[in-house]
Amino acid sequence: MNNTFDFNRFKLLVGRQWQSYKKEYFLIVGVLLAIILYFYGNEFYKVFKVGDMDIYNNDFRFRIPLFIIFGLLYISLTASSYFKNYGKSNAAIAEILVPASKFEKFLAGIFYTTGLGFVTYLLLFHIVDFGFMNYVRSFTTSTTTYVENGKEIVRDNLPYLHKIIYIDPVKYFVFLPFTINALFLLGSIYFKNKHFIKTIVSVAVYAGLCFFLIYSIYRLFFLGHMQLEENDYIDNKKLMLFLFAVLGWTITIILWAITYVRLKEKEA
Amino acid sequence: MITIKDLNFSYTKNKPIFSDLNLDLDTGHIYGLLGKNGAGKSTLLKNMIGLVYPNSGEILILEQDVKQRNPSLLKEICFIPEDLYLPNVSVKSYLKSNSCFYPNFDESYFQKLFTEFQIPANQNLGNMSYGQKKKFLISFGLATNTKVVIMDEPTNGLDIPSKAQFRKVLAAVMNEDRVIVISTHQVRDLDNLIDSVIILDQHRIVLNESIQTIADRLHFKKVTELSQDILYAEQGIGAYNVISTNADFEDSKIDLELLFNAVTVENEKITNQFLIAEYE
Repeated sequence: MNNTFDFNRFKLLVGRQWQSYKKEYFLIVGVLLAIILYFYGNEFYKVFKVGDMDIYNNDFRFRIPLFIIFGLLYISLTASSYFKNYGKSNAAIAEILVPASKFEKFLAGIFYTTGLGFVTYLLLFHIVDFGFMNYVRSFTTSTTTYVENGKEIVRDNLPYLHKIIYIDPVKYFVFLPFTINALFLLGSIYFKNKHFIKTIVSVAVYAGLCFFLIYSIYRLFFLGHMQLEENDYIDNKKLMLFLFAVLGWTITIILWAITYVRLKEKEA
Repeated sequence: MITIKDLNFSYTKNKPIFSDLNLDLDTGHIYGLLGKNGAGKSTLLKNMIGLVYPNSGEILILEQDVKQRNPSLLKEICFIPEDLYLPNVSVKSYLKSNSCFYPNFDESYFQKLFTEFQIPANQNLGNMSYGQKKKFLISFGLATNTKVVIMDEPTNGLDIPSKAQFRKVLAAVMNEDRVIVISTHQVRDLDNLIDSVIILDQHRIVLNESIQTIADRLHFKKVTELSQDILYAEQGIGAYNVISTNADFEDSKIDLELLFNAVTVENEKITNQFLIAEYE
């Protein structure tokens, strides 16, 4: 018997977690859907109240901040509650004694909080967006045509969300939701209770310390010794973004590794 | 089956719970782990199945290190804790998602125990009373057919008919491949059930003997007058309940409560009887 990973056992574990998680999951989906619908509905209400898209000049810009802020909140909340049972002695006993490996238990956590969680969020958001935008586009002109340098350019004024979100530089920031997930997943196994608040406070303290340290080093060693040209940044923008993404993924993997070790060493 | 070697454990640095504790538990036995509140019974059980990690020492079950919490070992362990946790799901749903981890799970036996214990079938586990939850977990645990069954205060919260039912069921599930360890401070609940007694006092094992050896070495009786050969006596109604040396190998029914009190109060006098027996 493989004591580290067995696909059949992992499948059983995912099924076991689903039995206790499904109520919470559907509740989260319901709340999520209600909030997304509220924001879209509210915007539509404004449009219909004015009665004319052109006068209102609404390009539904609220969608991007809503998608990002609400997404980060959703990711952090679901991740911070996943291992909450390990904080209560009696529930921790039940979890620890499930005949599955620690690695499988960790992977199930990643599966529910990133795999299922992210897919659910993206699907819900894009389906709602597609439905609403389709409706708006059905009764108003969504494009503007203009000529630039002798070329006719058609601009979509009411684009679907996926067309404005998944643009080139975004790929460098894909790590961000995973990092948030890793941070809050670690918080959910590290703290015994009030995981969400305690994780936020800890992150704020660590981030503050890091900033202070970096700033102190900069002041001590580099201020007055080095000059950065603006062109340096523009020339190396892609490289900078790439390095930033590598750093982000590295931090994420380290945080997941720490979570796994904490899970391994958890006592009841 | 269960081997504890030189176990050292403490929750805090300055207050050791166990120091160099050694214990061997064999298959085919039901061990009663007795001790006062706070003696360390639950902590010993938690160490035994790898729920907490010792500071030093080794604990092996089926020759596997419990610290590793390997699935191959966990599927052979059934633990009924005192402080229960059951998710708020239906009985059917719990069975479906948990029984699959235990290859020898016997659903028909579970249903039999479920009916015998009169557990309400249509109620969610989260809404059950403490006693019902305990009966459910005992039924589930025994139906897993694991080789190691460990129960922490299993009779707490059970009503009188359920306690009798519990004794009957446990006696029936015992076989030569299994080891059952039951910890309790309600020693009378284990009457006629256990075949070995482990008494834990002030974080030490002060007695670890089979019922047979105890019956061979000690004599339990009621007397109206105390004599010189009496090792321990307690005033009862109209007579003394006493333990004396069993020099004549007389048969007597072991009074677990009296034995427990004797071992915790007059430890040396009682344990010396077994040392003499070993020496002989």
